[in-house]
Amino acid sequence: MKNEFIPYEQALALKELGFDEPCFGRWIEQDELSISAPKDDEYCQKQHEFSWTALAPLFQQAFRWFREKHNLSHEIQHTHKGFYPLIYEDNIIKPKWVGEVLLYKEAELACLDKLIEIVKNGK
Amino acid sequence: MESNFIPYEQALSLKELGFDEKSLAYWFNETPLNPEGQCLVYYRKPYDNVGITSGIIREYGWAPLYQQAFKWFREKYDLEGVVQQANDYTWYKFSIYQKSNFYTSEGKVLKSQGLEYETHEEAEQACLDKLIEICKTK
Repeated sequence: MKNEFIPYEQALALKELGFDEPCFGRWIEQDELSISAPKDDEYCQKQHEFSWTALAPLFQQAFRWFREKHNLSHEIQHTHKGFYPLIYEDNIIKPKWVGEVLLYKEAELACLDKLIEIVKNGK
Repeated sequence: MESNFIPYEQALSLKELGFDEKSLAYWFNETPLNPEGQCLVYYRKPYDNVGITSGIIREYGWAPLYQQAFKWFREKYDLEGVVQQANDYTWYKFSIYQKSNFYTSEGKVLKSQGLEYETHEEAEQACLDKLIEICKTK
């Protein structure tokens, strides 16, 4: 199930950006992911003050958060060569290419990194 | 947190199509005679090997996350469901790709259904329904 959650670095970045919603997992440290239902684990309900820990959102949760909080939608497009990520910003700006990649998982991660970068840089 | 999981009816269809991957929750019905009595039970790791839980999962099936369901269609059936923002950015649509063929919510396949979805979630749901329909009729 570990692959269903965003990696540690991205989870820390989301924490920095203000993500604070109940999750099914939390990163205790770089290589240690604890998975449990939020109602069974209070540490999965909100961010902890320790700077090296972070709630671990599912990929779908992270993308929904960017969509709802920052009006940033994404799409993983499919071509005969593979997959590439695409981001829609503010419902006005034309989609921006993030880059071309071959594997779905890579495209998804590249997309997440780009979303983090856009919000960090204040759009 | 329930919104992270596909609804029971769709989960049941996925089970029929062969989905059998571990998830973070499973479906359970304490009163099987009541078809609306299905509830989501979050899987608790310490009870991983308890026979009764395994039995329930065999009977009712896992509750796949949306991302798991889409991944499963991608890997098992080579069907890629994609939710897209429409050109004027005020609504959503979806497309389903399979190698050189594709189905879209604007195309012939869904002409009798609504083409515009107000939210990403609605489009995602409709996309999943279409994926299930495609696989069931294969």
